[in-house]
Amino acid sequence: VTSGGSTDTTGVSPLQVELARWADLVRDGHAGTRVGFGLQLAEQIMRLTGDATHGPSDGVTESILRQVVRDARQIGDRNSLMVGVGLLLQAADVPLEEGEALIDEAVPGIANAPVATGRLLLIVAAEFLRTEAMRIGRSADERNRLLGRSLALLQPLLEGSFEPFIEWQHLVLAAQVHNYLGEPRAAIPLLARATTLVDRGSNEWTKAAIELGLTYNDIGADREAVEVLSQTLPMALGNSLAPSGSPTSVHRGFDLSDVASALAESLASLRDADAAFGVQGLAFIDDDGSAAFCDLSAMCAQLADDELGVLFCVNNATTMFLFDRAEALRVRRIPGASVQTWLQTIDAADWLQSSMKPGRTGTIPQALEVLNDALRGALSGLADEIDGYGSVVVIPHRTLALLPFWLLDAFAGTPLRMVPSPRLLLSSPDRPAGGELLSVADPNGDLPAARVESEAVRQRAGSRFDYDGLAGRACTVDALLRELPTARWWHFAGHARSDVAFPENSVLRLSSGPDGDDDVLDGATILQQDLSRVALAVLSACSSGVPEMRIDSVTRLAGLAALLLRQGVGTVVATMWEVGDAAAALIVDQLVAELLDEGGEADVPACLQRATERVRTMASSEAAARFQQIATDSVDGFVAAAADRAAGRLLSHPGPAPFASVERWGAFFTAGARYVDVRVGDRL
Amino acid sequence: MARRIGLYVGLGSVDSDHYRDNFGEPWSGLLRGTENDARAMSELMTTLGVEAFAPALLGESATSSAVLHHLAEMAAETSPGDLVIVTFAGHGGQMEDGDGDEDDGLDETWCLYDRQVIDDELHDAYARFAEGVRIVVISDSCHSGSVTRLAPESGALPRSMSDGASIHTRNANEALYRDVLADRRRGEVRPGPTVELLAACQDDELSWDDEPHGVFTAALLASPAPRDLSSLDEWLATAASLIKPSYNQHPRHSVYTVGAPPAPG
Repeated sequence: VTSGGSTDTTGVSPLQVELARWADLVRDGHAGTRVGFGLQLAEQIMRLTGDATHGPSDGVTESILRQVVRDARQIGDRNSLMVGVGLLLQAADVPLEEGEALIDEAVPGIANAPVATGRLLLIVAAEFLRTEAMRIGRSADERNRLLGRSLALLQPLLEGSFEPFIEWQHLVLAAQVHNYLGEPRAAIPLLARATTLVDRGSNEWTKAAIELGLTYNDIGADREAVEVLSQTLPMALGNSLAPSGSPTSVHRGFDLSDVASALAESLASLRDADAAFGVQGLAFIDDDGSAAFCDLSAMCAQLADDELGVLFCVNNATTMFLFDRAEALRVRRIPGASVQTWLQTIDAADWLQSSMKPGRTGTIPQALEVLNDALRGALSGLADEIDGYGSVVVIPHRTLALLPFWLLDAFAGTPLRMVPSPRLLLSSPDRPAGGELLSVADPNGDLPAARVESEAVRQRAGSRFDYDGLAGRACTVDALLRELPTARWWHFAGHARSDVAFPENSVLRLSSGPDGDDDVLDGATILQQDLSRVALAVLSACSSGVPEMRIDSVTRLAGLAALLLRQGVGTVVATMWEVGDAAAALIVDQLVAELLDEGGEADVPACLQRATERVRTMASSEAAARFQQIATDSVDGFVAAAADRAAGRLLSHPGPAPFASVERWGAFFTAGARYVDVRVGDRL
Repeated sequence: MARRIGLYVGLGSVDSDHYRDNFGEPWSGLLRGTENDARAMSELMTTLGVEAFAPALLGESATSSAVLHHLAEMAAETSPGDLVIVTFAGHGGQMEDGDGDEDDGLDETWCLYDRQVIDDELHDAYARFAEGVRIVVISDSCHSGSVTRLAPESGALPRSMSDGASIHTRNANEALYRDVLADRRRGEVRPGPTVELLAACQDDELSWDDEPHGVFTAALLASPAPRDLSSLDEWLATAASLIKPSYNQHPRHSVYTVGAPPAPG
């Protein structure tokens, strides 16, 4: 664009011209000129792209703003410093430590600054600190410190010199911070005041009502939530009942179905308190992000006689819905289960899932202890409710999708299956008879034990099913998608990444073919497949990463298991964290044995529980003997050698129960339907 | 006066005609910091008064016969009181144990250019040294065949041959390794030298390669080495403290006298 310091304007956009002028200014080194022009330019770009770090601006805006801040600091222009810091915090990925330092530097200047500048800086800084506070992995002390700072920054807006210029968004933010600090009562008057600041006939009211309703819902003020949200109901329901489009747009964009969901949840949580609403079922935010209304009778009919359904609804006053086949719905408010409780549990769950990442300290048993301690009060009494039932189905909500319910003390000893949403509880596609057992093992060539596991499955079930094995480089996306539609059982032993926040980012790592490069089957592709023939999918995979996310951004259960269930798979057995090779192979081996032993309708959660129990108590010598048996019965020299190695390693450290620790066996869980018809696998 | 001599081995690649990868295809086992490691350890030891017995054995020159030949010559030229330094930077591996002397049924190996040298062969080579000779082996390598997890640092590679590659390599050279295992000396019980092993990591960990040096060697080079090399504990402890926790790599120090288990790694 530029040549020799001059600007060539031929065939370039106005923005490019401006950027070229900026480049000239930077080169010429006039700090004072740069500050004013830089702020204008950054604001112009931000209006166009909304993001200073990513996307079309490609970091240009961030670099401009950083230059502005440096220049303003150098020439002592406090006003521009404040604006520059405000815009930087608003639009760029600023690390916490740097952000706090910028806030410390800029905020003292607001006393002598124009009102607009002061308001911008305070609200942006408060939002920045609130967002940072809610990052998963923060300690409770650190989180509360940041929330406290955020609230302190909002004070001048709420009651200080800026009070006459307050806007409803400031009050909602303050209410949210109070709620996260465990002070929901302090939030209610703020929200009430916010409702008075917007004209109810205006377009602004629609947006405000949604925010206010969701925040009321979060703090457990159901009546207020319903009152506010009901004013947007016709439009919201109209939108949410329409096709919801691609999952990406639902997850990442602002979607009015949230309104319907929040309203529906509020209505549902009022069910025991106010029969006048006459709710006949549960309206729930669905696993694909849309609102759904599930008829309660139909949900109860999906359960077996001995099964208890436990549906969680999380807001500040967490509610459990208990139901069974007899439609005996009981609604329990969980005492003491505040947002703080759930924050602790989410921290522990994140710790649990990431504790095997390099550099993480702490162990899975430690994380589980924290988790159980945090939930002891909230789930007290649940054991009494479960007593008498032979199995439990848990429908989690929002961030609860991160929790390993099957490992919680409250559910100890009871076979458990997870179902991502009421809709998936209701769905039971007809499956044509027959089909094959498709085993996909070690696409990336680095998991010999996965090949052993696949061989064990073949040896156990190969005589019952038409067995089709893909191993190593044969495990391409094309091959898998070609075979999957005819598979009745699908076993996958390899690497996976399950993304809870954005399921379309979940992947199974496969092979690209002869060149041996990695390829992936991503969630978006899975969402295009009809998997309704697959009765059982066993994903014995390293679930190697839950992305960093903010707690308040996770609103739906997702991940690979949910993704597969949504596409019609009956039951998924999957893992929550990275599993050791030998333990994974043995658990899958035992699971298949248990399923086949059942003979007819096999109870998957119960079979998985027995399989894990068997492996937990297995002595090294027994485990080694099983691997040796697999080696002996294998016709594949590589697999036999790998099985022998696994046996050798077990024998090197003989012990009564080498897999007793929960990190060895606890990752496996069942999601979806309870029963798998083993007979339909019989050769036709 | 007691003699101090050293042999330094580093392999940035191995012979792909011999080695196989996870899929059974030719594998050259590229590493980036290993040959630098050997050169740097040679220079460091020279400053500490250790004479290089031979030019550092790098890449194609680091064959099994070259290493074993030099060790045999060093054994012949040393006497009680002498110090022998041997450093190795390259891939480690494991191989099915031919004689049952390993409790996990697997021999540990160094991946030299033309083939793997198993720990029993090294043990036999050390046994040729006189009683009273002190051999210090610094091995920046690992033998864990476990699954490679996400690399802790961008670009870092583990210095171990994977289980799959190891099985394929063994299967592709079955006759050669059968002969190697059969040729081991048996019944060596006479008192031999003392062998000190400074290993880059624990048995179930990975040692990481990087540029310009492996993580372990870089830490050793950044720590003050004792001039007299009499006690290595502090050197190793300082080096260990310099390794970033994200590598999950904890060096270890073990000492044994040839003629008694355990075998060297």
